[in-house]
Amino acid sequence: MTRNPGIEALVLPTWAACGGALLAVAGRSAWRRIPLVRWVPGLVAAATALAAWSSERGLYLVLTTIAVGLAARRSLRVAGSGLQRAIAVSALCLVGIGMIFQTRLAGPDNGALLAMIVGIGCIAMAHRISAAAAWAVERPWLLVVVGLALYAAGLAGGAGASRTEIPFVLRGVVVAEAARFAVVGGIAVVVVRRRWAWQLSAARSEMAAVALATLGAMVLIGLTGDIGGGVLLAFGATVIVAVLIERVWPVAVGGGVMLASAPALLLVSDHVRERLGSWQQWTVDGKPTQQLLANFAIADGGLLGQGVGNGDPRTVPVVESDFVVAGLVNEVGIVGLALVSMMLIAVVAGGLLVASRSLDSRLAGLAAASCVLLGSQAVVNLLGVGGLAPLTGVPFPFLSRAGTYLVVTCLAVSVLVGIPCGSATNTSRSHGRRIVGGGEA
Amino acid sequence: MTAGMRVLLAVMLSSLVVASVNIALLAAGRGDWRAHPLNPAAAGSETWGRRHPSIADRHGGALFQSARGGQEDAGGVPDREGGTLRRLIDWNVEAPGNAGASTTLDGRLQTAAVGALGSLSGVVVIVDVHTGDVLALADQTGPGSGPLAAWPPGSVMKLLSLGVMLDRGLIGPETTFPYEEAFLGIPNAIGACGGTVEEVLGTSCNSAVVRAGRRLAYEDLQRAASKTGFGTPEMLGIEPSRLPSPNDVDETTWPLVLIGQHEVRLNPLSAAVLVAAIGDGGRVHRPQLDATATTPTPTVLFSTDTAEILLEGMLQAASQTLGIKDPEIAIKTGTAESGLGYDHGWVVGLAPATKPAYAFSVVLPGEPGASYSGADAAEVAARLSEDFASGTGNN
Repeated sequence: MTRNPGIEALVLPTWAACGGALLAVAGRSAWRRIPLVRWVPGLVAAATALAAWSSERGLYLVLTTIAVGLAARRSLRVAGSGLQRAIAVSALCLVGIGMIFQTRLAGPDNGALLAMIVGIGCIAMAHRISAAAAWAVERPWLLVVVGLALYAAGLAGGAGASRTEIPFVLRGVVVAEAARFAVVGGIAVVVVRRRWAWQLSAARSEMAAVALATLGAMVLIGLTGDIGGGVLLAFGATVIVAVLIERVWPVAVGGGVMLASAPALLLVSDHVRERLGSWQQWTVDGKPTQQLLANFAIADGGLLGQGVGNGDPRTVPVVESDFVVAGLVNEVGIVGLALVSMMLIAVVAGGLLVASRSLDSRLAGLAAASCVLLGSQAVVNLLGVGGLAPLTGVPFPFLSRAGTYLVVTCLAVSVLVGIPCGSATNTSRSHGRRIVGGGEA
Repeated sequence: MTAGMRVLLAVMLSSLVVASVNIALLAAGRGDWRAHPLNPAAAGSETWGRRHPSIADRHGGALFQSARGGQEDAGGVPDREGGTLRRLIDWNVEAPGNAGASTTLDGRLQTAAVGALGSLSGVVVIVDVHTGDVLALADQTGPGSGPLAAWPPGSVMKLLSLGVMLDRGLIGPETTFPYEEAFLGIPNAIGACGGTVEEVLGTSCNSAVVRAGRRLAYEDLQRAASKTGFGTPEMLGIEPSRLPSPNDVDETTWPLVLIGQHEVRLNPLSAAVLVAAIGDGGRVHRPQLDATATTPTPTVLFSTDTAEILLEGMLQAASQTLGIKDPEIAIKTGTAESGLGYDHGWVVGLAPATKPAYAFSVVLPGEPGASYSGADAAEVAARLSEDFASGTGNN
C-alpha cells in the first residue's frame, strides 16, 4: 500500500492542537493559565512544515493549518463570549480536519482550498458578517429578491438541485443553499414583520408565516428536486418563525407538513422513488453499492481506526463527499467519530444557546435556524451513511467536499460567533438594539 | 432560554447522538460487515496482512508481512503500484475472513510472474494443471481497468474451437486441410497454410479453422466454453469471458467467432483454465484461491485424445514461435485486433511440455499508442519458461 508519512505526521499534531485549543477556550482564565497553548499554532505550523517536506500534498495542508491558525487567533478576539469562542474554535477545527481528510481521500483541490479560505475568513470576521446579516434581515424583501435572482442564475447554470453552479463564479451548493435560505427565510421574516401593516392578528400572522415558509420550501423542492436540502431548509425556516414569535408550535407544524408531504413526493418524483428503492440495496448487478462499501469501511475502522494513511476508504466511491464520515471512521475509528461529533455538538448546541441569549430577535432566529440547518444536515447525512435512512445527497457539515457548501456553513457559524448576546441570566431583546443588563449599549 | 429552544436543543442533540451512535455501532461490529464475503478487506490478502503477522502461501512461506511489524517488503510479493498483492483485494471473493489467510498462491511463482511482465502492462495467471489452484496472479493493467478484465482472445480461441470440433467428430487426427491463403475472405497471417490439425495449430491457420467450423453448432461451442468460465456472473469487477449472443452471430460473423474476434471476450483466468484442461487430459478444474477450500470434482471438457492433439499442436506452435526445436513449454499465441488501431497480445501455455504441471496465460492489452502481438506475449512466456526451467516453480 502506498503510505504517506507526511500526512500521517501532520494529522497527530493537528488533532492535538484541536484538543488543546478546545481546552484553551473553555474559559479566558484557562487560556491565560496555560502558556503552552499560546504556542500551539507555532507548533502545528512547525509540524506541518516537517510533514510538507515529505508530502506531495504538503502545500495544501500547510496553507490549511496556517489559515485555520490565523482565523482561530482572529476569531478568538472578535467573539463576544467564551461560548462563542468555543463555537469558533470547534468549527475551525472541523474545517481543518475536513480539509486534511478531503486532501487525503481525494487529493488536492484548488476550489476546495479557496472555499476553505473564504469560509474561515468569514469566521475570522464574524462581527462584520453578523452586522451584515442584521442589515439584511432588516430588509427581508431584498433577501427574497436576491435569493430568487441567485436561483434563476443557478438554474441557468445548468446543474440544478443541490449541485447548482454558476460557471466561473460560484461552484457547488452555495447557490442553492443560499438562495433557498434567503427566499424562505425572507418570506418568513416579511410576514412576521408585516402583520401590523396587513392588520392581521398575531395568531393569523404566525400561521401565515409558517404556512408561507413551508410552502416556499415545498415549491423550491418541486422546482429543483433536491428533496433533502429542501426539507432541511423548510425546517430551518419554521425555526426562524418559531424563534421570532417565541413559540415552539411552528416547528412542529412545519415538520408535520413536511412529513405528510412525503407520500405525495413519492407519487410525483421519480428521483424520490429511486432513492427510496435503493435504500438498503447492497448490490446492483452483483457489484456492491456505495452504501455497502461504506458499511465495510466503517466496520473495518473499529475503535481506533486503521490509522491515518493506513486505511483504504477509497474503496467507497466519491468517499470525500457525502460518505466522508465512512472514510473518517475507517482511518480514525469510533474515537475520531466521537471527537468530530463532540465538536459538531459544541457548534450546534452552543449556537442554540447563543441564539437564546441573543439581544436581537431577528438575528436570534437566523442563528437558531443556522444551528438547525447544520445539525439536521449532520443527522440526515449520518443516518444515510449508517443505513438508517435513504441517502439524500446532503453533505456532512465542515467535512464533506461539496464545492462552496463550506462557505455557507462558515457563514452560518459567523452569525453564531458574531451575534451580540448577553449573559444567560440577564438578557432582554429588542429589534435592532442591544440592551444588556437593562442598559443600552 | 425559552421552552421552545430547550425542546429544539434536546431534539438536535439527541438526533446527533443517535445518528453518531449508530455509526459507532457499525464500527464496533454490528452487522458483522467485516466478514461479509463482498468486503474487499475481508477477502483481500493485503488487509489480512494487517490483521495477521503474515499471509502464508501454499508452502507456509510469507506472501505478505505486516507493515506494522516494520517488514512490509520482507518476503512480500510486489506489484507495479508499489503495493503487495494489492490487486488480490478485489479478486479473492471466496476466502473467509480471518481463517482464509492461507492462499493457494505460490510466492515464488507470483514473483516469477511479476518479474516476467517486467514493466509491461498486462496480466499473468498460473494455475496448477491437476487441481485448478491459482498459483500466481499478476495483474498489472493499472487502476483504469478492473481486475481480470476480458479481452478479445484472437487465435487463442482456436484451442477451444478446434477442441470442440475434434470432440464432435467434425475433424479428426486423419483430417488434412488444404493449403490456401484465405477462406471466406478471412486471410492467414503467414500466407498459405493447412495440413493436419496439429500443423493448423502450429501455424495458427485461420482458413482451416473457418473451413472446418462451418459445420460447428453455436450451442456446442457455448456448452464447452461455459465449462471454462464463459458466461459466469460478473462479481467485484471481474469481467466474465463471453461469446456473442446467438442473435449476433450469422454466416458472416461466425467465422470471426471461431478465431476469437467479433465480440468474443476471454478472461486470462478462463484462458488458463482452458489450457490447464488440455494439460490434464481434457479435465477442467474450477480455479481456487482459498487454500482451505475443498477441491471440487473436475468435469470433462475434451476427450483425452482431443487433449493430446491440442497439446501436440501447442508444441508445434512453441517450436515455430520461439524458434526452438524441443521447447520446454507448449504454447498458443494470439493477436486480437481491437479495430481501434492497436492489437492485444496473448499467449497461453503449459509447462513442462512433456508432462504439464503448470498452465499459464499472458495477455498484454493494447491501448492507443501501444499495440501488442502474440509474439510480444510469447516473450513473457519465454521468461516464465526460464523460471520454470530453473526450478523456481518446482514444488
